[in-house]
Amino acid sequence: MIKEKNYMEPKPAKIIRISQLGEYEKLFRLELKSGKNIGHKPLQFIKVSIPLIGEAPISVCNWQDGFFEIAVRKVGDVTNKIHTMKINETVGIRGPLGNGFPIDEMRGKDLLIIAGGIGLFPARSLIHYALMRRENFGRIIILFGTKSFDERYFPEELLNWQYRGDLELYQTLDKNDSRWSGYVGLITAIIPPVQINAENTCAVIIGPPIMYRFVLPELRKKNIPDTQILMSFERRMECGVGKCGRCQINGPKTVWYTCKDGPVISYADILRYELKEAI
Amino acid sequence: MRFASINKEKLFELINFLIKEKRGRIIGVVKKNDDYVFEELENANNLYLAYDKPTLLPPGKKYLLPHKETLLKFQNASSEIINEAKPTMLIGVHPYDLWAIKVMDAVFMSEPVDQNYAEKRKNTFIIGVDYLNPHPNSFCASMDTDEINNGFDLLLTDIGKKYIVTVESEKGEKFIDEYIEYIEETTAIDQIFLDNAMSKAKEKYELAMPIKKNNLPDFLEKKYDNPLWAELAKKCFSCGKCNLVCPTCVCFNIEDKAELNLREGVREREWQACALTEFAQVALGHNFRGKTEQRLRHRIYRKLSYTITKYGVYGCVGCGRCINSCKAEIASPVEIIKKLGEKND
Repeated sequence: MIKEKNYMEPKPAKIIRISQLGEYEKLFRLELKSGKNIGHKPLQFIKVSIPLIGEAPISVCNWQDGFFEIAVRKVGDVTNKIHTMKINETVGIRGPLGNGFPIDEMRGKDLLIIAGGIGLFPARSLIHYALMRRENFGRIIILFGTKSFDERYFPEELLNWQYRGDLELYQTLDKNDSRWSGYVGLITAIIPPVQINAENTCAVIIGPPIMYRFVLPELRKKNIPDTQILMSFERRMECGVGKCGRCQINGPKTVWYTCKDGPVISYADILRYELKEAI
Repeated sequence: MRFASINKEKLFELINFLIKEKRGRIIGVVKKNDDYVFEELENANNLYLAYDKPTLLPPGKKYLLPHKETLLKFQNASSEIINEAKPTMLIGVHPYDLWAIKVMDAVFMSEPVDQNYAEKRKNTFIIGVDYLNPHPNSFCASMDTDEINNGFDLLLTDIGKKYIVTVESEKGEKFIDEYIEYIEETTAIDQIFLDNAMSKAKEKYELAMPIKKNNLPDFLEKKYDNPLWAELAKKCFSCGKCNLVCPTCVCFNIEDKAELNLREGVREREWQACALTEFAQVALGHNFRGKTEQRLRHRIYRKLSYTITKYGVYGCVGCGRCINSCKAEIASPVEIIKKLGEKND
């Protein structure tokens, strides 16, 4: 009898590089011990498994050959544990899970990527992807808002994106800082000045739950079609495959599973399904 | 489908024989104080097939998705998948609980198939029994779960001195052939008794859903922001009892447990309940369904609407266990639908 795949079985992955991103955030570069690529789409996630501690859902935050990266803020048991781990140690991973971005539908469009705080981590996988296939997209505009100067993760990459010339990056800090000469204010304030061709723009929002409520109206003012406003959601997840019931987002008509139907959904679908719990 | 019959005494003889044979666990309905429970039978005399109140815990959930189940075992640095399924016979499963197993199948047998569930399902032989004396809190007739034609191996219907045996599955056929000396043919009169018993049972239900089952999703669509949810929330203890006893509540948590030596341990799944405060809470404490009213509304929508849109099956089978168990007396789906009908939105 062929042994059927058990979705709970973690695949071993080796930590090959660790870098500190912020006070509570670290970047882990991993490779599967099998030597295979994990083969993820931008905005898919994995369940990171640490024996005797547990599992946590974490977005894959890069798009490169041969390895994958996760950026982890320590907030719970698993994330605290992984922060103590060293190069060459092994974690388990399940996935990639979730739908990821509808990359084919985004082809040829201008990308307006709006990332808040550590929303930059998952957004980075899309940015990497778009830069690797630069010819597939029109303009790439990134709006990044974060609380403080020290929460500007990936500063070298931000610098590179700022000056490389084939993308536009606008940044803002919630709190002023003597080291910062850029814009200060909420992310919603840097949306209006951006000039876009709404019909051909695909907007992407990734950030803390509260951000969606304020960013959406700004995008609608710009007349970006609802089908071209994509968002990524986070909820509590146990199984990651649509069984445990924990990540459901409800509405009067139907229910949407963040892990399996998502994490990416268009604003048009949120309206169509009336997912009141989403925003 | 094939019909046979078995004399009551013969059935008990057969079950005692099966217990002695020790080919697997023989689980049946047993009386405990004023309630009934499914547990391993040591003697067929303990089996109580004429039970008239749903068992405290539903058999499908208890044996196909155990309260706690080991999924992985850790030893030093290695992990190993654990998927244990003892051959099990469930005797005396009422039709509503068979319908509930269909809901579980829809969740766990859809892609990606849950291997732990699938293995248990494969190794479980189900003998149903018709629910001829429904409890006052059951409303199966209005949920079309008072009868069932598939989803079991054998189904018994009490017609007095004997049971009519409905044989549904291949496994059921094999079983009948193997124990043919206990079994008799059915007669034309047996069929009349069977139909009589079923239609009489249908009339005995005291409780009914006030609107047609098929209209529930549309009805609820307009009741999402009804003030009733907040009213009920004032009484709700958020204790999760309604979830615990519900045959279609299959949500779970996954947690690691370590031995004292901190090198060995297990990854377990354990039932969780959407009524509990922490159900949708994430690290750092943000709760995506922090209000009691949101959680109790979630339960009702999941039972009467979402499982239809998602899986095409009703998440409420009308057993009434939630009504029997709710300390605050607010869990009844019938009462809630009734009140929603009376209340302006």
